[in-house]
Amino acid sequence: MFAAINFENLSQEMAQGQGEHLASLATLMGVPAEHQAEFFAVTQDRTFLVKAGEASPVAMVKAMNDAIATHPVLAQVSAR
Amino acid sequence: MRSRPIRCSPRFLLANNQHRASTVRSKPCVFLVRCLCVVLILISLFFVHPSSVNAEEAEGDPYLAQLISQAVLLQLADKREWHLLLHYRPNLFGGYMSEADDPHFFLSPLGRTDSHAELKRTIQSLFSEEPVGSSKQPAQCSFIARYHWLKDRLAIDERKLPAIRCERFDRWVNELNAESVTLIFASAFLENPASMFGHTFLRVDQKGQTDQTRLLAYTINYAAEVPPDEGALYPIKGIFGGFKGSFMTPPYYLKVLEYRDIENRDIWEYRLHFSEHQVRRLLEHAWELGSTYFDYFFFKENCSYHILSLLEYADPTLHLTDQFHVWTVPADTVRLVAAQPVLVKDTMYRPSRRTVIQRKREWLSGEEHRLFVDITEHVGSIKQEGFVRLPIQRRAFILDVTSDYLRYRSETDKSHASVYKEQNRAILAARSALRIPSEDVKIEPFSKQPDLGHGTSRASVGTGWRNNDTFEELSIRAGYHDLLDPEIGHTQDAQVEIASLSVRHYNRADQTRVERATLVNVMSLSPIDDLFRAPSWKVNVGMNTIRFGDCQFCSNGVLSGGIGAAAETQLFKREVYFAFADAEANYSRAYEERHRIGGGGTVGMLADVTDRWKLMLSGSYLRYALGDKSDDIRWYAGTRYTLAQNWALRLEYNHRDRDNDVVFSIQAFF
Repeated sequence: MFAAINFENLSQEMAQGQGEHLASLATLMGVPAEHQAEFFAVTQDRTFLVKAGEASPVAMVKAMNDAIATHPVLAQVSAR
Repeated sequence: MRSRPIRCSPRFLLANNQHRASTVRSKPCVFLVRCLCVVLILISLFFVHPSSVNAEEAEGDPYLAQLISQAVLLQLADKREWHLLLHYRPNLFGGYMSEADDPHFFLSPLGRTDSHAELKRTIQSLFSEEPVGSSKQPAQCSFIARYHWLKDRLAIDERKLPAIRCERFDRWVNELNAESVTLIFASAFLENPASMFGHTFLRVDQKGQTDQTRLLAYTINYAAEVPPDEGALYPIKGIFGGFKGSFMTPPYYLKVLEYRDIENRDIWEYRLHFSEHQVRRLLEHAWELGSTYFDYFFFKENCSYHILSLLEYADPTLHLTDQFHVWTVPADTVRLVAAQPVLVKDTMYRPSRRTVIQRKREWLSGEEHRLFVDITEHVGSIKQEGFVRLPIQRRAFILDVTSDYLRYRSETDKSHASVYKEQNRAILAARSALRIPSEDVKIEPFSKQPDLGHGTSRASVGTGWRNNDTFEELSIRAGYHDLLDPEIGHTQDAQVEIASLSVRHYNRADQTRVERATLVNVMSLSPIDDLFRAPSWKVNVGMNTIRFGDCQFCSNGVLSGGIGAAAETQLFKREVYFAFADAEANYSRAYEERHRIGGGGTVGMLADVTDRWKLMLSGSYLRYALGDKSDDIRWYAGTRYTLAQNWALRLEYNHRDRDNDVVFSIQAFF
């Protein structure tokens, strides 16, 4: 629900590589604060925006989850 | 027409249960499960718990008799905290009455006006598991703050009166995960009459929350429940208590979305110094209020008033609501809270999107600004050589402010929202390709925090000269702010005057008369430039005194409105120019057929000469085609000098056809 309501803010902050909505989402997804920078870097990838633009917040969160799962560091540290 | 919500916004009323259900710390996969759990809890709200003992059965209990006599001895029913819990207020007849309007808020049928009966019945009910109150729980849980207060005051022995486990409350408190409380002020929003005075609510800050994640905290928001099909009568009902108001707990990100992103209102956050115990008391009382309602009165028993009552129960040494008798203006409550010793820990500012854009523009060079405007019009301009040549940080900055602007446009020009969203998507794709994070930019507010602003009401004493006479003048204005008042803490270029009256004594004519009266006088100036193009507008209902024909001092009813445009320069400090097309109707015995209706135009300017000194000039020409066929040329020049937060001097000159009026006054705000 957080992702759905804040979809526009999240899209913007993903492109900007930082922001409080994105940091809040990272917290919800179990990314520890000290690894937020990596999370921001991952989500800045433009492919997320393209996917999100075509699909929905659900697709966005799914893509993020997949990205975390395949990320060498985030996959280890995230409380998933 | 869909009615607009009364601010204290009811927009999230229906969503509230879901929001209360939404979880903040969970991972998305657990998210739905948690939501479901809480929905189930909420559904259980409506099922009656089987009662093992009811209040009457408890009557024979010797411990009950002991507690009641102890309470009588300690005079608990007369204690301030008990009165705060039940929201008793003294009435005109020497008694008192609760402001709560829901009969389920009281356990005794006499509870609304009889604090002793209510106390006795409450103690009785604590012995029972019978569900009571609108939330249908045992009294210990429905009225958990009352229970804990009595438990403390009467040193209730749990062996004789066992504590009931309040699972629903425990779950709610766990969900809130509260550490501290922040008072939030959303500044005025002139486009909606119900939001002209701003709005306040509380944010329950979570343990482990950072500045970045405070969006996830819940809020406690009091709002009127306005049915969506409520028609033109809704402002009247809002003013006179025709709606029910209740407490809700939407998450903060929803409020930020509403105020910052959609309505473009600056937000101020005042973190309060409450101990863990005080936060707990606040939540317990909020829980009791969560299932009840109060009749909503726009001017007094509004959002801010009820928020104050929560703060008072959290810390009963605070005396807040008793400072408000006739109306409770949100900014006044903020000033009052800020004025309490050590109550406010710190203040944070959250700029509206519009403020962000305007501040970021100031950081652009002339060439960068040109590129920025180009890109907002044609996304393809990012391929321009001038843009590509810029350092990567500057490109990122320009794309960021472009995206802010396109989002602003998609909220303010709804009919083209999809176009702006599409453009924004392209900008964001280009922005993400730069692969650098945006730098944090500190955005300064255009108007300072509300607690530094002047008081809501104003009284003036003045003296002056009119035509061949001199006069003394007394004026009083209920609220709120006019364009010449000291602007600190108030929304820029926004005038809202409600209920003012000026009485003059003319010395030579030896006549005392009501010189001017205003019911409402609202003016919104929105400077236009290459990005912002909102119209300016004004509405005025009142009366003044004119010289017309043979009549030296004639009362003249005025109903007028105008639509126009404004522009801003910064030649000295800040100047705003405006032009309006006006329509006006007058009623006076001075006119043939006692009325005249016409139209015309006004031009004028406002200038800040220094931080304390402001000037306003305007000129109007109106031609009246209906009723008394006449015309009118008016000039106005006014200047204000601020002496202190609540003191100012004014010198004003008004000219109409053969009518000149100069007044010098000193003004006090309170």
